[in-house]
Amino acid sequence: MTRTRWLTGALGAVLLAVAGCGGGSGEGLDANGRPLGEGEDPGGPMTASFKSIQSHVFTPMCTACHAGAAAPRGLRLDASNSYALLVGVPSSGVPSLLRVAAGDANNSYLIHKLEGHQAVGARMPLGGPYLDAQSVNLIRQWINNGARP
Amino acid sequence: MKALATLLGLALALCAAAARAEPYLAIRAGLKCVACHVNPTGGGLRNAVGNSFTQNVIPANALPDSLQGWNGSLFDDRLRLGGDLRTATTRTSVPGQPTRSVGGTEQTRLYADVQLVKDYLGVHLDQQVAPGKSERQEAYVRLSTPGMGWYAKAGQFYLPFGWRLQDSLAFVRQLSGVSMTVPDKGLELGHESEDWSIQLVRSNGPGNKGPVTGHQTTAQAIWMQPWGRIGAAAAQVKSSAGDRQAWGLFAGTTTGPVAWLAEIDLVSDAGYPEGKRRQLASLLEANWLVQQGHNLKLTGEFLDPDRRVSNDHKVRYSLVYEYTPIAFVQLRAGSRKFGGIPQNAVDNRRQTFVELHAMF
Repeated sequence: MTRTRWLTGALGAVLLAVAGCGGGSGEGLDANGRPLGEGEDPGGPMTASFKSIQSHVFTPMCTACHAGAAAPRGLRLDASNSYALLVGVPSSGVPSLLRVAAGDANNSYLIHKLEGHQAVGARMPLGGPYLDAQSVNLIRQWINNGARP
Repeated sequence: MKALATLLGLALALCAAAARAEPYLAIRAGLKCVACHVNPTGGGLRNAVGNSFTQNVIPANALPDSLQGWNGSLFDDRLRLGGDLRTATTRTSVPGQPTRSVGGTEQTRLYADVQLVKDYLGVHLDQQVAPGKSERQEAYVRLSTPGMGWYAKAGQFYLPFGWRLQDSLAFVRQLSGVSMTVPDKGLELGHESEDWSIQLVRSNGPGNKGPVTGHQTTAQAIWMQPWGRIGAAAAQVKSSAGDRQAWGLFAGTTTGPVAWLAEIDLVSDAGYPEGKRRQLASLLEANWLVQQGHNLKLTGEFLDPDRRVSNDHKVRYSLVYEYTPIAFVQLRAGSRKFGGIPQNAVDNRRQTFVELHAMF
């Protein structure tokens, strides 16, 4: 019994100590947690350009899962790979839909996933917070304008 | 009455949401995953013992006699059915942004297991039917010796790596790339004995799709002891996107009414534009059995997304109360606090949620 209490106390103390820790200070990093100067810093408001969408949405929100060699469905949304893996590429979830159909936001899988349409499964980002309507409209605008790099 | 119980179970599963994998229950009861689940690596469809556990050990109150009797089995256990439904309302507060609430069905899953040759050859299905279009999560053929002493699974299934948590967004599940939202196709060989649970998998790799080619090898071993269990897992991805190695150590024990889970994962991933990233995630979870049917879950998590970069780590703390009034229904309410660099408001959000989980 004494040993059980001691172990409970020790593990509880570890949990409490851990709970006292916060996130990183961010010193020397941009808003995406990367060293200053390494990538696009999402300073200023989001616009309907690919670079802005990358730095405001894909890098800070999507790359938590969609990055590296184990990215779900092979979709890597880091700044070097996202455009090539999005625009004009059939989605693996619904192959009849392109991930991004240039000029046609309504038929782009990306928009369906961000808006949570019934035909494409779980809404993204998984578990939220989901993008607000204004951000989704800017992505729609970028796609309808031809989804230029 | 059995028919009534079956119909009630089906109705609950089709109208609500469920408890899919909670390894703390196995720790608390001193049971292996395969003791309660059809899938030897745990999660999803429950076997007869799992159904009995769900009805008699977890809930605060017993079902009325007229509703008892469902054990998931039909045709002398040749066919086994089950389901899980989760519906939730989540309120998210991001600093500097309006608070938003989102509600709806998070997940509805139906399970079926057919024993073509009893105790030797079976087919297993796990189908997510909501939200959105129906999607197959698991579909495999299983060849086994009685009691799963040795088995092989071929088809689509979840990979074995660390604790199979219900919370797929836990840092350890996100970083390892192995969770109950990311199935893979391949062949799994496994061995279950009193002291050991061992798996070896050769699969395509969840990231090897479309233009990305390669394969993944995953291995896991868990040592069962009277005081708890300890496990180790390793995964190696060979990919045209870059090679990746992941290692995990995990353990579970109990101290009085508290069941503890811990896991630490290390990843080395060459699939990033700037080159290889070394990453680390950890989890410590306490589950306090307040009284039968009431569980208080406290979780602390840590993530270092790039060990080469300083000051970028993230934390996540959860406090969740789980109340299971009767078999087949669970209510969960909780709060999560995220911590990250101050420049990223989303990484410093708070979430509160209420969830209804139904299962049969």
